[in-house]
Amino acid sequence: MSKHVLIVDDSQLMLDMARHALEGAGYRVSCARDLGELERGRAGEIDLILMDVQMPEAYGDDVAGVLRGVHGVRVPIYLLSALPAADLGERARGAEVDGFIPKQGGMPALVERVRTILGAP
Amino acid sequence: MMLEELRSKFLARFIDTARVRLERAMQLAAGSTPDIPGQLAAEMHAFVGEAMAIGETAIATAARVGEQAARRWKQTGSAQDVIACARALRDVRKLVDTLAASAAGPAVKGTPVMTPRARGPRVLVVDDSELNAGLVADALEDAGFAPETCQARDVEPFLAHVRRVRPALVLLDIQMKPVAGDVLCRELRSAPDLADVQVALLSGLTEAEMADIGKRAHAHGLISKGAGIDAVVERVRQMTRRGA
Repeated sequence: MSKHVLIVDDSQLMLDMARHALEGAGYRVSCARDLGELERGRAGEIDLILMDVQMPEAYGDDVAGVLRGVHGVRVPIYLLSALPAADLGERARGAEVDGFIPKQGGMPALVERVRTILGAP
Repeated sequence: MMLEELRSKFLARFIDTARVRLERAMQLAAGSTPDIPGQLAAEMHAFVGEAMAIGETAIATAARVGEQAARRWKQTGSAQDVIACARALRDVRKLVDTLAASAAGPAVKGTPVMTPRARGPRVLVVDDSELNAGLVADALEDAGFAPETCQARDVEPFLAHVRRVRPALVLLDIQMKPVAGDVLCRELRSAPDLADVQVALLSGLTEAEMADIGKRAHAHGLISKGAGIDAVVERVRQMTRRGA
């Protein structure tokens, strides 16, 4: 079965574009728009979590910190955001996640990074 | 190749979402919810990400400027940052309109997409919120009107300004400080030399809620901001047609 990516973002358009791009590259994709959906989404087997930083309910880096520290989630977590790369890097270090992917590069760059992190689908 | 495929599939939805976000920004600016700049910044931030994802870097950059201006506005509360935010929203709106026009293609083959617009009736937009005045003026300009914005701190200088500008229509926000729009309306309507100027009250209230205020102020028309910017433009169109 192909590798499974969970994307957390409050923009439905963003989620749909990322799903289209990653599924087109052969990955399985689940999406969550809020913390409730994230809770349900992570019940299945996940290989990578991509987390938006600025969401209405909470900051993605805080959520990532809780997933790691409290829930003991071990799969790679990357922050995915439109924040400038320097800010994003700082947040990623603070949240002890595996890294960050700026949205600046658009979907081709996102797919490329996911391929580097997970390998072939 | 993948970006092109993504664009062809999502461009129309991106434009629709952009318009919804801009409309929401307009309603935020017109309303009295707490933390307007904070909410505007969040709206623009989501927009930046969407524009980046679809490869619209110019729109992403303009929206980023708006987001940063809204964040500064939240911190400083300075008029300069409010104006910068209004300008950025205007720039985003223009870029989205250009994108929509190019996505749709020329209506008739051989017709240039950009044609010089005739300058329509002059409309004076009076609002103590620079952001709000800017957004309304921008939408009116896009619809072919010749808008001008101003603030009214006192009655006499304001009447003098209206005499100079001679607009076809004055749009007055009701809840303004230090002088409310309905007070200015009454003054305008009782000036015999300004009898040819149409006056409308603009508010976040519904037209029914404005009815009494409008009647007492002898306004020619009432326009609710709650119906959205397109409805405001349409009412302005009706009123300037009637007044012409």
